[in-house]
Amino acid sequence: MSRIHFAADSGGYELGRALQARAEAAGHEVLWHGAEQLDPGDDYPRFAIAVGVAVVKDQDAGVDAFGVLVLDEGAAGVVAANKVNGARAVSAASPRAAANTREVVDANVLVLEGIAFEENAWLTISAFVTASLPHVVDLGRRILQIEEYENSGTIEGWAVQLEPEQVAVKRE
Amino acid sequence: MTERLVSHLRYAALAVPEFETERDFFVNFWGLTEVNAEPGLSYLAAEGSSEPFILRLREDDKRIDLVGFAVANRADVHALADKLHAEDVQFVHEPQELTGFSGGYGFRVFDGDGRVLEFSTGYETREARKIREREPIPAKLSHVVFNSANLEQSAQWYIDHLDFSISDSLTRPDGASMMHFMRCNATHHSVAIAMGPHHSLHHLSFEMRGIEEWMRGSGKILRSGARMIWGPGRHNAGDNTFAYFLSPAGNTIEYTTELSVVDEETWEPHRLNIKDVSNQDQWGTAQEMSELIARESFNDIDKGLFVAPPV
Repeated sequence: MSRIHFAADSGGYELGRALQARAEAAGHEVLWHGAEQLDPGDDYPRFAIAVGVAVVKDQDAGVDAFGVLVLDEGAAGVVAANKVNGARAVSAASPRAAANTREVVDANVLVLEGIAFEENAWLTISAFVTASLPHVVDLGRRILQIEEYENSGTIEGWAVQLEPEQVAVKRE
Repeated sequence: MTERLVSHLRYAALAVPEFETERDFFVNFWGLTEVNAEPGLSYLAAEGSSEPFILRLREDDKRIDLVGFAVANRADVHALADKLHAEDVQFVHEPQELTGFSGGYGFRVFDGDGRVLEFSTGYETREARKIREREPIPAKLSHVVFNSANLEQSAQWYIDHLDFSISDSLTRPDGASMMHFMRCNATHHSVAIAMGPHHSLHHLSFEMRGIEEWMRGSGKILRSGARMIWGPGRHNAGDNTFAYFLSPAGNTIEYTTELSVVDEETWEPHRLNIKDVSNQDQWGTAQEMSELIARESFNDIDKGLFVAPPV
């Protein structure tokens, strides 16, 4: 069973708490990052960032962790969570779509909308946390290109400032 | 098939001036476990390896202290020592009980260029564990690569005295050798020697559990602020994936996975022209092996040639 970092804003609070209970009942370790109670009109970015930070920190430490955000506006949560270095947040409306995001981009934060049907939302989370990146190097390489850009501003395979005399020499 | 007295690569030992910074990087980010610490000395293990340690760091001027190899038993230790004596190899010390961390029985010599090599047996091993899925830490030390100012002579020493075999070589467009990948068992290479301006460490390579762990680990190292100097890619020589980074001390270190295992009965070495980019990188996405990458991996001149480390 994995660790799942949950958070919800007012638009997703009710569903978020229901999914938290289901995840705990299924044996996952669940950490709740807010809101602590229903607070109409609250702002989603701090929840999205908190979940993204917690997931990346855990994954870098070797803990098998995922994030789930349940928000009024899912697309906005995807944008916010992806500002965290190392977060790969996606929305998915079905178990199949969620598994696909794991397989193509090793997504680590799943963003759901508060209006989602609870049973489908739970099956989508279950698929998300049990699917894994296939043993295919192309997929890993593409993710590393994203991460290289995220950390160095280049997508070239290195992160070095070129001095004029260091520019690659092409031999005929 | 060649009968070899060396069974496998055990560990690399490096001296670095900024000792604590280098150690902290390897522990906090690279994913090794410190298993023994003495003043100015740190022994680091890989969780997936039964070797008691795979990297030893020592506080001093930058140099390669030594590279450790395992030998199957005491009879083989003595057989190898007798062979090397007969071949006039210069010894650091004769076969003896080893008193450092993890003990064992073995001896040390200088290789043809003056690097120190240790051959040992009977040391205390460590309980290895399976690296978990998506756990971004190395499973073991994969291989050690040296720069040599005299490539052919350096490589021939390992063939003549230790019965290493060349698995594959990289060549320049004019046909001259640039790098030899050498094996002491079925693993495609445990040691490689690259042509460089001077003798130094080219890089240390660490094996990850699989592609997912290799990708997760590399992402973690990028977030640590370390520079990725070449990669991500997949080598043709050895078929392994690669991502090269610079450690705080300026040592090139690699996360790799899926280094091939060869059938020694039938394996024929290849000579791969570096001008053909696909020989360096099957995907062609990791940049050509350029002057810059070569320079980044030249490293500082090894100050430890024909000088035995104090431990």
